[in-house]
Amino acid sequence: MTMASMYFDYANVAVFFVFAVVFVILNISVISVILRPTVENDQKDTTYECGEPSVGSSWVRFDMRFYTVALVFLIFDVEVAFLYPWAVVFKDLRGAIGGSATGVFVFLEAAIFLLILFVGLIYVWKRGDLDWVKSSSAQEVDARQRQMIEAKDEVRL
Amino acid sequence: MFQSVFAKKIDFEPKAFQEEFGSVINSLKDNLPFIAPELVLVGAICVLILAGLFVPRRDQKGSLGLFSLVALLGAGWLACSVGTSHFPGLEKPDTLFQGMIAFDSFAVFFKALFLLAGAVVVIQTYLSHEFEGFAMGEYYSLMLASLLGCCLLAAATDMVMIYLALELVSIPTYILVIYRKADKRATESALKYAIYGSVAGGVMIYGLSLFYGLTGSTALTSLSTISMEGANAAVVVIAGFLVFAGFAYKMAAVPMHFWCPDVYEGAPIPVTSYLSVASKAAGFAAFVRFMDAFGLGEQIRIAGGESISIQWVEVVAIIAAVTMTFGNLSALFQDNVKRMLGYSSIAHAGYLLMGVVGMKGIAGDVEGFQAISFYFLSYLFMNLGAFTVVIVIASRTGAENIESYKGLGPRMPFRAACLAIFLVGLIGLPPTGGFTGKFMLLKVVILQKYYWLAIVAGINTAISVYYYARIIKNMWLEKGSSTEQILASPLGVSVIGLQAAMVLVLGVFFSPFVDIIQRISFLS
Amino acid sequence: MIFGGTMLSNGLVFARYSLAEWIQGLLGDRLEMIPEWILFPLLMLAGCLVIIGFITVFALFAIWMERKVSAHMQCRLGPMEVGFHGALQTIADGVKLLGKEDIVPRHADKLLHYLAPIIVFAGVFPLFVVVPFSEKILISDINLGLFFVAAVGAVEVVGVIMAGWASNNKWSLFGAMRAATQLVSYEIPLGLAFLTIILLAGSFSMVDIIHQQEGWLSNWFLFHNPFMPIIFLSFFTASLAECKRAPFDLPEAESELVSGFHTEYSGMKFSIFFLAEYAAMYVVCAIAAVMFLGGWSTGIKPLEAWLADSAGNPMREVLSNTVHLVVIVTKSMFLVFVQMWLRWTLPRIRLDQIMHVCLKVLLPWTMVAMVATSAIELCWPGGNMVLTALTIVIWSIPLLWTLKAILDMTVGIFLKFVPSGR
Repeated sequence: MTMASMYFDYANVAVFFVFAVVFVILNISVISVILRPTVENDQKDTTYECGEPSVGSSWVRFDMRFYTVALVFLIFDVEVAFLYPWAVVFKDLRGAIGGSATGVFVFLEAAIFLLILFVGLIYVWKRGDLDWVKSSSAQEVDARQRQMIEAKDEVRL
Repeated sequence: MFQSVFAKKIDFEPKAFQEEFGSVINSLKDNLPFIAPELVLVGAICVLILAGLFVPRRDQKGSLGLFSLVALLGAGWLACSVGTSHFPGLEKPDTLFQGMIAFDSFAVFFKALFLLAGAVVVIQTYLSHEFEGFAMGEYYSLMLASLLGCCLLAAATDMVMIYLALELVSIPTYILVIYRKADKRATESALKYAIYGSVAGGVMIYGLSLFYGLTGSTALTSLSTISMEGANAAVVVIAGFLVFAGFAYKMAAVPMHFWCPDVYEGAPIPVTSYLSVASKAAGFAAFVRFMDAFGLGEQIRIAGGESISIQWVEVVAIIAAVTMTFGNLSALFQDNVKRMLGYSSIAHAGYLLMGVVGMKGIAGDVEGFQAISFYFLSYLFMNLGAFTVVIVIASRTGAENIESYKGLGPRMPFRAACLAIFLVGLIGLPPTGGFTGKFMLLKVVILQKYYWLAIVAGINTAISVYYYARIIKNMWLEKGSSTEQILASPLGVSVIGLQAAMVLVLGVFFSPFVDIIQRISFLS
Repeated sequence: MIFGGTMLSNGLVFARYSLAEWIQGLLGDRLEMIPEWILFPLLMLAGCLVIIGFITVFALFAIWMERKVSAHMQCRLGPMEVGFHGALQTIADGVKLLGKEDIVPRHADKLLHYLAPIIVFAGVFPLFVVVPFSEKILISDINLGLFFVAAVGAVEVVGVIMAGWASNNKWSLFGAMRAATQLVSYEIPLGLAFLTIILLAGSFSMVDIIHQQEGWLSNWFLFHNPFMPIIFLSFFTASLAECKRAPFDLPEAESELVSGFHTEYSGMKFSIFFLAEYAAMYVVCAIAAVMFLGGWSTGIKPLEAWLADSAGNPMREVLSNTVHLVVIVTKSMFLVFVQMWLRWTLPRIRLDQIMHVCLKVLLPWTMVAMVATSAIELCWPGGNMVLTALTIVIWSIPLLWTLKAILDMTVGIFLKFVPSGR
């Protein structure tokens, strides 16, 4: 393969990206402005919440659970990202004959990596972090710990 | 214009790539046996995480603790046996994984040290009252993960590896500090610790990236090839200080020590004792390696032709003096034993930095890094021993204040006597390992003609007598409110006794240990 | 500065497989008259125009198809008025949307509100660079093909969150949060499925992946081993979620959240979201076809050989490209149809169920299937006929069962219209 085609490929991507941006701007700020009516109306600009007047801003804090989801995503997506280079050379390293020594080693490396992550999956699964509604037993345990520490602190004071 | 850009060819030969990659993989395969202790730790971490979920919570402190103890001692034994069997006479250093980590006697010694410290901390955890009813799977696996980081940090010979290992040491400890998450003091200190740690890590990697920019390589050995001409010099100075900041944080040296007292006070006591020995030793091991590669002094020529010299060794000496003075003076006024030991640990960072000052020792005599190694060996027993007694006292009486130690001597005579030995060792008086270690440190500094530093260290030792002796005085000479005997568990007494014995052995029959220490060398 | 004739003749043209090459063929020697710095951007722009045309036509058709499919599944007729069987209905709707006013809520973050549709569209459109149509009809065969899809495909979620957040509307915010959770979670099984295919093909490139599956139908990666159908199902499910299609259409659940993250969007901005969604539908289906169903390969070895034999027969190449174009578009459209079919078959699932399906069903299964596939690939490089046969046998059971169910259902409906004996 030549460098030429590689530069051409990525130049293409850049052009496509720029084209997409220009296309959307053209559509929403030029063509549509020419064609559409603009009738000012105070009521029209209010937030639509099914006819109810909206109360307060909706820029609020998110639920903690989204954070957990983000963490789980981060772990497993990084895992996948780490495995891409492995996957693409796997065929080369494995060679043409089945079960070559290098191939087995390369396979085992990735398998162990996945196994460790699988341990992590089992861990979050068992702890109930994958459940959207965390099991009540896990919350009880937290509460019990808190009580115990508070009791201990009293003793110490 | 386009022609040149588009017509360039890539030299990409799949066949050659395959062969080269195959050889890389073979070298990885060959290197695996030498990181056997680390592999054992990784396996144990996985097992502990899972066991923490399935073993009943009530039994976890004992059963998982036993498992981690076995794993740590096994890994320590492996570290020693791999180290000695491959290199009879503890020499002939080599690197593993394309120069990422070193396999030399220095690394092997520190690995054994960390794993021993980890084992003691696990026993302390079992003795401590602070983890009743807690799920301990995560605790032990985080502890082992941090120890894994320590092992890698002591062996790292690549800047990226140093940074990764440093973070692997730090990040689990943030969680360990806040392990009792309903504890308000712990929460506060863990937040401070985490913020401090991330800032220090960020500063450090900034410095490392500057070095990378100057040399084009992340290997530590490339540091000596930096040309000190012109503008480079300024960059080297800035990068050097940035990297120092990262190490100083790990070693708890001034000016990156602020986290230390708060965290020591807020964390569960076993975690405090872990932080005071293992993670500090790891920081020192990496700092020694870094300083050896970086060089202790440089002649810098500024662009104008003027020449200034920056002696890194002077910088380290000043940091050492300030650190030990600050630590000792602050420790004078503490009421909480944990906090006092926190400041004392800062002071010890100062003493240990003297070893870095005298790193290029006189041939045939004890060198600076060997003095550091010996001091850490005795510090391991002294400090961990002191913390073990503090844990026992806190678990039995709930006392953490120096005032509440009054009259403890007659109530628990053996353990209080041991605590006195540990404290005498921490002061650095004979006949303890602390004296031998401090003697070596002073000797290497004096051989380097840093007399002022030796005098500062001497004055500091005198200051430190006051606050260490206060505990001994409170225990033995003051009258407490109660005279009831405090229960002794066989495990606690034997562990404390062993450590006290080791402190005395290192102070009296130190020559076999000094022999081992003198055989330590590292890759440079 | 002139584009060299040598490069043209030795076959190493700047892109092996590209639309640009066709234009080269059309212009021939006259191409050398144009300086490169004009020629190259022009070629790329031509590609953009072709693709935007394709997306528009596809969206027009797919929206009409969606309405027709849904109508017929519910025993209705759907749009019938504009054009033949309502075929021009979407065009009428599009013209109507062009004339709609653009309303931005007073409390919205105006800048982010404006940027959101741009980012959503710009996250989907570049994906067409790697979507192949035939050997010669594709924009360019990027050597990082699938990785590029995984990377650029993840941009869309930023735009969606931006839209929901900027609107300052509770419905939008809920929609955006749901979208974030869902899109982000389903990227994991998607990535694992990519990984498996990359592992089998040993390359990221779309064209390479298709070439690996040429020959008989049994060469398709779907039939490589008994675990591949699991990967395919997981990929298809995840791609449904990535397109926010039912039953994973929580981010825009009409019955709960009005319209989800684009509640506060109207006129052209709304149409852009819509266009991007349909474009993404085609992209994921085309990629599924490339990854599992042999891409443009017909699956009949003699036919493929006959088509490839273009020596001394220039028309054969044109024919081959046409056949392949038809084949890959048919495969993709079939998958698009399945997406629509599922929309009217399965009820929308709850957020906790979405997370359950992703993390507790797809993730472990895909992981296991991936490791199993790599182990099989290690033992029998290039696949094994026995395993392929086994795959077809095992998986034909649920397939036949489904077919029977469909047959029962359709025949049942048909029988309802047949007057009974009474």
